[in-house]
Amino acid sequence: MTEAAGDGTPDRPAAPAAGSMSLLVDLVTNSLEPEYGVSAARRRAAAAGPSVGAHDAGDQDPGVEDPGSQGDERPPRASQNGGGLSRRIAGVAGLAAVGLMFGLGAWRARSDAPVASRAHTKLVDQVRSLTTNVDQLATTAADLRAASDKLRAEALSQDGTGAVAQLKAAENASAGSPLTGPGLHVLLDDAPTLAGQTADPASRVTDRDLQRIVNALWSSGAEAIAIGGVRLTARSSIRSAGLAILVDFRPVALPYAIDAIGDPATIEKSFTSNVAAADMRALATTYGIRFSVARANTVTVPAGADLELRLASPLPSSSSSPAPSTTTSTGGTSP
Amino acid sequence: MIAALALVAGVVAGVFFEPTVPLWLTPYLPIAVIAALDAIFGAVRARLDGVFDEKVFVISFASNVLIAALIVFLGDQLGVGSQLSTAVVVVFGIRIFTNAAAIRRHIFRA
Repeated sequence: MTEAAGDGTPDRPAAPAAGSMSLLVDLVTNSLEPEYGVSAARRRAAAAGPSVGAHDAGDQDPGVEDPGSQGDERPPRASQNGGGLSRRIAGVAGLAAVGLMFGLGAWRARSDAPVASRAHTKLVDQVRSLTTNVDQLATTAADLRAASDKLRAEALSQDGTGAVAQLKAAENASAGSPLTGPGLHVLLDDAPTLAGQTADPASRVTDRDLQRIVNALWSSGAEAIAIGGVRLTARSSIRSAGLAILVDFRPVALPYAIDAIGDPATIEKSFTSNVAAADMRALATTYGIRFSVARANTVTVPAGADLELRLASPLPSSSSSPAPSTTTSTGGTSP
Repeated sequence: MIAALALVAGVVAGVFFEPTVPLWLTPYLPIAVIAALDAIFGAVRARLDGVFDEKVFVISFASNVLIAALIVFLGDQLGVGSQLSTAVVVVFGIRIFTNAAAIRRHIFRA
């Protein structure tokens, strides 16, 4: 086996390739560290040295290559078998370092995925807790609004100019207060999928479907509409984010329950003959989307979430001067 | 035999003790792993050729890892990080393939 190690690069091609390829050729022919061949040649020379020089020295036995009598500086056989202890330790340490490299690489590759999923879980938790927070704040706002409505009604009832009724009508139109009354109940759901199968995108209820249904309900004479418990106001949006549908930036869950308040008979008659309802029925028969319309004696819709004052500002507290407040209050309540 | 045991011990240490790799070192780890792979294949081939030498192995492994890391570092600093890393990967990849072919020729005589 030592004979094969003539120059460390036994498979050197006979004729070099074109000059532009010399880099690649060099890479392939010198793929083994040339030092291996050099050090092997040095060891061969060292092995040959004492056997030749034995005649010169005269006092040394030619059998010096025997591992038993290691008198020379570097006996070849012993070195080949890892005779030098420090060399052996160095080799073992080097291999351990290589193994450590592999282990670290494997560990890194394995630990990277959990990091990503951990970040995802954390984000989901954050979204959930913030949503709960928003819900609580909305409840508090509704309570406060109810209290202030009551106070305002008491204050205005002494006025006697029908301001309370006027305000009530305006509030109903702007989804400012929860409403209860007879109406229509529309239910939409994705087509059922077999377990372990991914849903066909065409068999899903999209935001456009909901938009068309809602517009059809408005045009059929609905006075108030809520989707999945979220009241629609004049400025509400229905849009999709990924696979979820957001109503007023709040996710609504399947199945989509649409509550509409109004005269049930009129709305149903007008709605079922609407082209949007017809399209949904076609989708239901084609893709299996579930679509049902039912009259209801009592439908309850909550107050709209984002009833905010855009031009009016609250009166300054009584301690400050009332002079600047008159302009803002008249500007706000003029409609 | 001892060499193989050392290799396995290193892998086990790397996987199970989960040593904390400093963040600034992590970009160099993949390149270092490829350099280590190259050193291993070179060592096995040298062993089969009968010219293996521990000193050459250790020095070539250490210097290859260092130079590979240096090239990646330089590429990062110059803003051409991925391209220089590609050069390292290509060179080591060719060497690994050539050495693997030589090992295969030794073992299977084909």
